[in-house]
Amino acid sequence: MNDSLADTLLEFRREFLSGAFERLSEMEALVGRMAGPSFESSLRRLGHDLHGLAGAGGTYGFPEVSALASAGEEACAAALASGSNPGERELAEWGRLIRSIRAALRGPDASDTDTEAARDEETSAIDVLIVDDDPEIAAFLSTVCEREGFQVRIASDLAGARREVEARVPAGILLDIGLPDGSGLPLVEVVRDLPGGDSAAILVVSGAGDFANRVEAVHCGADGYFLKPLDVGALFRRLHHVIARRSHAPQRILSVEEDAGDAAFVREVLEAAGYDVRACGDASHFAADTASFRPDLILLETAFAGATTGYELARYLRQEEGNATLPIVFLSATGGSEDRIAAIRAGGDDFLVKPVSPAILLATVAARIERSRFVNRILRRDPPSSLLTPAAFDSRLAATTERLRRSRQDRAALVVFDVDGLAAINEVHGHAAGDRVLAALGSLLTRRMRHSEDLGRLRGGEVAFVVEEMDEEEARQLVARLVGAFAAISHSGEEGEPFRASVSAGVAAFEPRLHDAEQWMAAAQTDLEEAKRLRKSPPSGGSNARTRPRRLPGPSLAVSRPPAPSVLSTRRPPRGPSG
Amino acid sequence: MRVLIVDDEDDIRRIASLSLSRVGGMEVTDVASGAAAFASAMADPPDAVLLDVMMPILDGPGTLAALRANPKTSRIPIVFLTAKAMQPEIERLKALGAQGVLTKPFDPMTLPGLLRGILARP
Repeated sequence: MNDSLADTLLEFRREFLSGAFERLSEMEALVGRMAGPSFESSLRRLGHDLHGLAGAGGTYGFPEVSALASAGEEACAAALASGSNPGERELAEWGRLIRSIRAALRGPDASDTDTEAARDEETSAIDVLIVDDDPEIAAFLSTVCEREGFQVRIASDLAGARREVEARVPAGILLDIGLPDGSGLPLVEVVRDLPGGDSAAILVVSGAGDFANRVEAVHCGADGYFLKPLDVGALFRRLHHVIARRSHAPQRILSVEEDAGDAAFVREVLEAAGYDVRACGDASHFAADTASFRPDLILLETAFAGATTGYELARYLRQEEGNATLPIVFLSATGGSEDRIAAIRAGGDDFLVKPVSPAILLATVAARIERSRFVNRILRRDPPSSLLTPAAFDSRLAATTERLRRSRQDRAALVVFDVDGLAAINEVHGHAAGDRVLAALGSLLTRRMRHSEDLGRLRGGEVAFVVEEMDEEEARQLVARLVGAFAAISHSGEEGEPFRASVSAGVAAFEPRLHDAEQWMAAAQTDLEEAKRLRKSPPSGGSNARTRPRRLPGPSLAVSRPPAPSVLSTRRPPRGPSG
Repeated sequence: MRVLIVDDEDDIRRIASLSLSRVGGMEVTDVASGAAAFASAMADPPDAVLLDVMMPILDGPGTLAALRANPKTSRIPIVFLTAKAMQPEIERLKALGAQGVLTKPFDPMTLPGLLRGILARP
């Protein structure tokens, strides 16, 4: 929303407010007159005024006012129907109602950010934006959406779509690529960059059908790709699925605890309450675990073997601005005031003394996460998204493999990414920088690979995912784009020095006759090793046995032609000794 | 797209106009009564009418009937704006011949998109 529109809205709001207070005074006078003979006309006037407030209140950002006024309006109608003078009690009720409305106009309801949150909560209808310039298709999709219970907005070109998403990010978008003023694909990135844009379910619809578009759509961060003529059933199933997935993800808690018994206790209590718990048993893994798991809250023991304390870990975490609202709850065997002061100074949100009762642990965790979500909403920040843990990824891969075999699908590929020369990066730029590089990879892939539900970390630190509906050629094209996108990221070392990093990738197409999950992973890892080997000692030029296309790293753009196959080329190695 | 907004409430008229014009990029005319709506539509037929239901003297349904009765305005799609959001009421309003129904209070940020969504349907 541009600034002058925001200013105008604020001005309108102020005018509405002052007008509303005046009207409330008039309404009080009307209530006063209801004891007399002309009560009916007073009731009608009152009902009319309440009707106006009911309609306008929520529109101007006071949903509570709408609710109260609406109830009052109904009460007026009922009183008129009864035909008799309102009694003392009714008059008192109306007085109370008017006072409540006045309080709602003055009170905490009266702020822009709170209303956004309130509006988000109260909207039971999910809104879907249809972007299509073909009026027949738009009409059809709109009708289906209505039937499916969605509120529908429509835009018929890229400019209109931008206006809609910038005004308010919809829960779902059905996006036609072929628009009169350009490709619809850039809109995906536009939406993802908006506050709240990460959670929109974006399904791309294409009439073009060439594989470049599918690869691009996946790479841009869309949640699905559909060709015309549309399989409407499949389209809406996916839309429902993605929307549901986004809203019901269990809250994630990272428990950083060396004592196995304490860790088990915490896990049991929290998992029983429905949280998704990850245990970090080694302080040195803290940064990587936080980056990959993206918890909603961290339970942090204060004492660890060795020199590190929980307070240092917390301070390290708080260095990142993005972690400012991440709740940290300290768990400590000692509860003296020195400890508490250290905890507060380190940026902790709470301090619990062991042994902690399950009730207190649960209450603290719930309250802290809720508060952090509230603050993030006000700051318009997206909730963290996450990679699967190695264990979770393994089981998902096994399930996916089974499913692919049963359905005799052969267009799927397993991709494994690994940062090149991580040891060297750690040495030259510091471990913190190394962790940040890993986090950046995880972040990039989480944002781009929404198409894949199997995206996770492997035990060796690599990141892996499965892409379906793509053959090996398409998968390699996608991978080339991701590799390029990662290489363009600028990281900073421990002295603030900027540097770049690269990833190597292994791709293995799914072969139903040969692969179980383990074999599939082995094939991908072999391909990865080959890629690393070739990176270190590239061939001297000319044709090569490998025919897959390699590109120089470059910024990725949503709209571009597929990369032409080219001879292997060297990649810039990271600074420092080769490795 | 040219839209005629009809609502006797000043507050609603102002913010609906702002919403449709600034957020939606539409050309907007607004009037405060059914009679004024009829006159405006006859003089300068809009592409769509956003019509409040509860208005004194000539209410929403009455205005719709008047517009439908005249060949110059009978084909203009009409979308009701109502504070009563219950399904039976919505069905009743649609049965009168409206293209669709939007409810108050509305979100000024999504009103134009929702209006387009309704108008897109056959």
